[in-house]
Amino acid sequence: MSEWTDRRPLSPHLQVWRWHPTMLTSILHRVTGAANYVALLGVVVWLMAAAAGPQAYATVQGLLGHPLVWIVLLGAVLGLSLHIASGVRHLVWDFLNIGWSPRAANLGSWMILGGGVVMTALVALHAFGMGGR
Amino acid sequence: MAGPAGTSQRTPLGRVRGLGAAGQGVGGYLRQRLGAVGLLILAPWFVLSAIRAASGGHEGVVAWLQQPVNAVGVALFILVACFHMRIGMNTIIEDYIQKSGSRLALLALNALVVVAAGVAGLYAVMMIGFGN
Repeated sequence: MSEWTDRRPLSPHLQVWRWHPTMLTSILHRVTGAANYVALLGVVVWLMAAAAGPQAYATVQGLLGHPLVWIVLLGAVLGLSLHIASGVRHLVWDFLNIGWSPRAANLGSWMILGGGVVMTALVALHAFGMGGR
Repeated sequence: MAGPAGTSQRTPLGRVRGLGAAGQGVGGYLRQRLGAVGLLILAPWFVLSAIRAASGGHEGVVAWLQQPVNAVGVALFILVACFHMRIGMNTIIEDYIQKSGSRLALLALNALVVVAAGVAGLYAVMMIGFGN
């Protein structure tokens, strides 16, 4: 029932397209949105541990001290930063109705990528200044 | 409902309402953007504020959430984030899952996960805020 039975050729898919900035940010917006979904579940676990008391919190804090977990956290912040930057662009597109030309859209995509990295660096600096958790 | 053509008492709008790929009109689109605008402020605030709080260990986090402004801010962040991410994940499921059974199951799972996360997050914030 669910098998694809249509014998006509499929339209070209992902692998035939040259990567370009707007394609990258479009895909990243969805991927980072899904990543943020998982990250929020992590935030809830962290809050629950804090509510459960010092012992439960210490367990979570022990995890947070691991360098591999730092990389995951940095990835989570990068995902959030890129999603916010790309989200702002979507709001600009939808409500101001500007930035639709290929030139502007490509430029916007590069700004999103750069802005996301800068935002992540600022958060990392902030965390480092606070004593790295 | 679906009598001979032209005899239905329902307006064209009433007939199409609830149909379409997502089973809804532009409602999700608008709500998604409403949540996005709220999160534009709430999410960066939460990340920076939570990192500062976490640097003080358990006591730091408790002291942070016992400030009413912070407790309300975090509660709002959790609520709006759950609202926004449910719509987003629904869209992803609707786009990629063709089988109606699995699609319905995943949409239901998404709803449950989001509600569970929201309730757990709010409960934790209130428990700390009201002073254990």
